[in-house]
Amino acid sequence: MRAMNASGSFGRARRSRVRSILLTALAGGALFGVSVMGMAAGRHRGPRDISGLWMQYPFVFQFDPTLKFGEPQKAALQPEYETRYRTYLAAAAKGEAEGKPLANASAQCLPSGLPTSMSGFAPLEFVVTKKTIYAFPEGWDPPRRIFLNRPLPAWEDVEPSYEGYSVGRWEGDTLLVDTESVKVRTTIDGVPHSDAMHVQERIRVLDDDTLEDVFTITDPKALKAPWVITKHYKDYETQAIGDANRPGQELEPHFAGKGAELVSEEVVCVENNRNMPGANGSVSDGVAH
Amino acid sequence: MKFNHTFSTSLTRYGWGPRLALVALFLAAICLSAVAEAHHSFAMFDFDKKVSIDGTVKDFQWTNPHVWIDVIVESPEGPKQYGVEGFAIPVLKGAGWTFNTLKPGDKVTIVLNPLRSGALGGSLVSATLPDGKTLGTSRRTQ
Repeated sequence: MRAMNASGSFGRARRSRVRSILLTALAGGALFGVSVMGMAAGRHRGPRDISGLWMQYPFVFQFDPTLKFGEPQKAALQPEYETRYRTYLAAAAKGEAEGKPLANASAQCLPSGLPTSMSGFAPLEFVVTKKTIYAFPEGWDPPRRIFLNRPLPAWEDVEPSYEGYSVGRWEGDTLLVDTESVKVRTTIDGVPHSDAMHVQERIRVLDDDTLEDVFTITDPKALKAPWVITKHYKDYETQAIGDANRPGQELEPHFAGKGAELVSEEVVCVENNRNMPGANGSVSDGVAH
Repeated sequence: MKFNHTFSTSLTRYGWGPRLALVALFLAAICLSAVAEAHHSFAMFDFDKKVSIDGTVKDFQWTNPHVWIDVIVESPEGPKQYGVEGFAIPVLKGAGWTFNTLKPGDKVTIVLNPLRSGALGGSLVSATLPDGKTLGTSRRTQ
């Protein structure tokens, strides 16, 4: 009985199982192949998926990517703030010319503050949770929190901070973020602002590899007109991998080089800052004298 | 230890890529009298000159945003300490450096852009390690 079944219905069942295993293996292999190709080609993003590591693109040192390095900012400043900005620029230029650069906030390891913190020379990581979106700029800016679907409290009631108080909401596939209460000791590449500064951001995914953030800065005390700056960011992993599917758009790998672990670097600026202000407020050369 | 200064009057041209624009932009900072929003301006260094020093590592500080190498150089006037400032860890990693590339006591030859003030120190250009290997400051300078 059993022998008959083994060569009859049991045999068919075994062949069916083998076919099933083979098909599963093939499907698994195909899926694995697709996923590997997907990894190589970059990640597929949903329209609201802003999570992950980003690097500003084009890579610039100043907040406004349309400026040449060192070119004065285009903000339309009220007279008092214009005077402060010009005074700063003159002092900075003098320091550079004399080889005694100003020990600005950055040289002292102080945060840039919003919005300049969104313009780092290292990756920026977004972590999205249900109630809060976190932004971690690599460098010496603290984490930024964007509270979702909450009203923005009156700025007079909020304790000033480097990254300010941010609230966000989705409007279609655009994340609208409003920030106030940024400490007035911060500047935007040297441009001073007041306690009434309001930064509106319109953040959206343009494609799998590209994020756009349009900043509109209003400040009735410091600015004569809104200051609008558009920044783009590229997926840091895509940059590091390079994208052979988009000739001409292949990006130079980040400092760590191809194949390096794609993580944000730990930066503790004050750990060994030998460039704190030296004589006359210039950057110390950090050497034994 | 030999005390060996060699000056180069022209800036060495490296094939710096746009992504490794740190160095180029620091140079631009000098030309444009700009203030880098990187950690600090590099206007205190003379990028028109290069100095080579042979010495012994006193300390190798693998820290962000700048790696530092303190080097003791023997001279007819006695030992002198140089402070050599490197770029950030990610930049040097890209050039092949690791946290244990150097240790106190290592004999090294270091090329640097000297401080304009004349103080003993400068910006790291390259280092020749005890095993004879030379590391630059970006992948492009190896």
